[in-house]
Amino acid sequence: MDEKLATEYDAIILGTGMAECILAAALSRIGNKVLHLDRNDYYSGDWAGFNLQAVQKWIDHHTGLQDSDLNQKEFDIESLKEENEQLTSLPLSSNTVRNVKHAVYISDEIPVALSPDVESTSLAEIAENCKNEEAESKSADSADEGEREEEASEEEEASEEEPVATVIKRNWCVQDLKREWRKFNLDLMPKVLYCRGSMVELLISSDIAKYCEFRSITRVLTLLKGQLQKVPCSRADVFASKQVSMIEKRMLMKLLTFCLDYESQPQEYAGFEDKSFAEFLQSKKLSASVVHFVQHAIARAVDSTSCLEGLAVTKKFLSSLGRYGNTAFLWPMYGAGELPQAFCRVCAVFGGTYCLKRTAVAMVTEDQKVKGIIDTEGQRLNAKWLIMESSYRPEPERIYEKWISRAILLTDQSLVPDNSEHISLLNLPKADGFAEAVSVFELSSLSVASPQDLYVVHLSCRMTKDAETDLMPVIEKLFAPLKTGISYCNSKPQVLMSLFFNLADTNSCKSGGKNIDGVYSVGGPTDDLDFDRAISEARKIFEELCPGEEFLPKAPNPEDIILEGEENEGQKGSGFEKEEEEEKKEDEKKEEKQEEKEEREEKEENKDEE
Amino acid sequence: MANQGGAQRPNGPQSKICQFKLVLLGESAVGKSSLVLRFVKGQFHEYQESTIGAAFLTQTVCLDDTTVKFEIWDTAGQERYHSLAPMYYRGAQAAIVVYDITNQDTFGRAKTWVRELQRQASPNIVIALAGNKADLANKRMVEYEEAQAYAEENSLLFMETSAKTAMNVNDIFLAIAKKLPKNEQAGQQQSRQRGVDLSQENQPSGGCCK
Repeated sequence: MDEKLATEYDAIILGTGMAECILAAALSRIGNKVLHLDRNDYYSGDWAGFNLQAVQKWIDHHTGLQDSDLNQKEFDIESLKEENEQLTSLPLSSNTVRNVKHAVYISDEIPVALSPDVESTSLAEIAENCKNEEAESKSADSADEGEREEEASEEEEASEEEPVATVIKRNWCVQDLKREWRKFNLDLMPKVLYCRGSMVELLISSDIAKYCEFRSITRVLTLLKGQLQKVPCSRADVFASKQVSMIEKRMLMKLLTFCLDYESQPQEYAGFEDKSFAEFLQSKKLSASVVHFVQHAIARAVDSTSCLEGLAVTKKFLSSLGRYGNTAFLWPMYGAGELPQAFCRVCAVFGGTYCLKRTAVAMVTEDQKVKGIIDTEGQRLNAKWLIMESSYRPEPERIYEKWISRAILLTDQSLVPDNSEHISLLNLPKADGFAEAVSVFELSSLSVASPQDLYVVHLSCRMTKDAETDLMPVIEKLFAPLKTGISYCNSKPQVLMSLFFNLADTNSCKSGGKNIDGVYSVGGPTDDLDFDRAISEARKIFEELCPGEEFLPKAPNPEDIILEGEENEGQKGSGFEKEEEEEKKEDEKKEEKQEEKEEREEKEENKDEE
Repeated sequence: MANQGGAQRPNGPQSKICQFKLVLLGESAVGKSSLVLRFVKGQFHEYQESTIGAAFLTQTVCLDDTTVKFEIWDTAGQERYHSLAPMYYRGAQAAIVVYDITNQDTFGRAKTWVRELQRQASPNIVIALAGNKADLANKRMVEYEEAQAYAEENSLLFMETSAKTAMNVNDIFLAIAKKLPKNEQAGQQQSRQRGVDLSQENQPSGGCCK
């Protein structure tokens, strides 16, 4: 790829994570010339999602089996700078992933001994056995069943079949999964949107919503008294719930109603402003279940979370309900890695230039002010601003204090199977004996991140030791033992594949280093549930760079743009001149911000002529 | 607005409406945007910059009992440095891969795009190959037969088009519309595939309909 880039920009952005892409879109949208580079051959950096083939490549890369994709050239870097300019080396590879460990618990192919005939008879027998076993366990949680059936009747016909059938587990093999490789979208860091969170508002106000699609998170689960159950969140849920008594229903409703409007009733939490949310809840004389639902499932508050913070999150959750149906959260279809790409598209639509597998080898500065970069293909590129994700910062500055422990599991059954497909969210508090609170996503094919009949389960928590050590206790609790061979009668989901890794929270990057005018850095994903931090970070930098400008205004109607001053041309076209001449004519008409696009077109033509 | 040939207004309330996402692919300057502009507006501009600010354009095509509404996505120049985002062809039910008949390299790139679609896009995607700038036949570098043979091997629709003279432009969209599945089952699948639309509040959604 010998394509030269234009050399002058307003902003050069390194990294295509969420915050970088929002900034790229916002800057480009109001007419700034943006060059957006990424060292990877994929978009979204540590926010990316991968199909099964791509994740293998990612694993190979991070376990040292495969080199980076960077297009690198040999060149004399010193010749690309002026005498009075300084060069600061920038790292070419990421340092945000550690302890990658991948394991497969199923055989490569189904053993020949299990021919279809044999398999079906044995499955029938197994099903019989399982039924007997499950009959006992079913009666135990019949209350739960009742609720589900009630819900089911309110849903479409599909759900009106008989209640939970015994799950006859399929005997998966690696080849089966590989056949479905493109149906997986495994996020490095899964995220959701609060229906009234700032990402939804931004997508609507900027009209970027039309590039992406979402699904509801259909269940919020919690582990209470050793059992996974659905958390009653909305008024309808609370009244339909069989897990809480009448008295508890009243308590819960009263508390939730208050939280929705807590700011106007400060007397209700007087004295708790400096105390924790947990202490506040304890003071309310609620039942243990109600406290559990609100603290752990709705507010996702750890014991140290302040009262006001807990109230704010609870309010955000409750006010999100009902906007898009009975859910507080939306899941980005195809995974969280799609959203940065949607913002990139806006940047590109307004003239931004995109180049993957290309990054800066050095930053050029003069008198503590940024002048531009030298890129991996030996081009000197100038810009007023250089914005980079923290892992692109000079080596001494990219040390992270916080890390996230992650596990991605492929399983053969839902944690709480019922007649519908779900996208479920579960928060396991530290109190349950885990080193840290663990956030769990279970994705069925509804998420378009998992194939039919398979489930992708994401676990994440703050790192205390390493991903495997931190998350194994949760996995042991929720799933059948991690080992080869399917135990048909085990009612817990079987893990078919696992991937552990630690991801840096690059927002915890040590500040310091030289303060260079025009250089900004942004963080990657955190362990938050949503994207809001990236938005506020991008917005803050945007306001500093472009004071008084509107942040991502709606794009004008494309039909208007195309018709602009051209109504009477068209139809037959007025003579077909040579393209070079067109370009010249065009030059006169262009606005400044469109010049770069032309340059590229010219280049393109030159290339064609060669 | 000049709609020609296959592009007509919907027939009436009884006709069923199917909406499809169609993406354009191909090397820079082969005339992707011009094809869309010709199809959607019946216009042709020698020098146009339609991708600036255009999220996507829509146009409907009427078949016997069905109105097919195309949501047409342009690359916004992201293909230039081989950096098109996968999000671009997510959920696309149709694609037009465009090359310039006066430039052999663009035909080679078109083949690469077809392979990319076959690998990455949905397996049922309808792909059409368009040899554009057919009005410049005197500068032709890609033979019709060569492209047609390639299209046949790969089960692609194929036409040579000219955004400038409008030759085959409506026809290629119409051919795609005809080939797209519009039966009940496909319709259902499609509505199942559709997610929550953020501009539509309080809609029933996903698996938790009220």
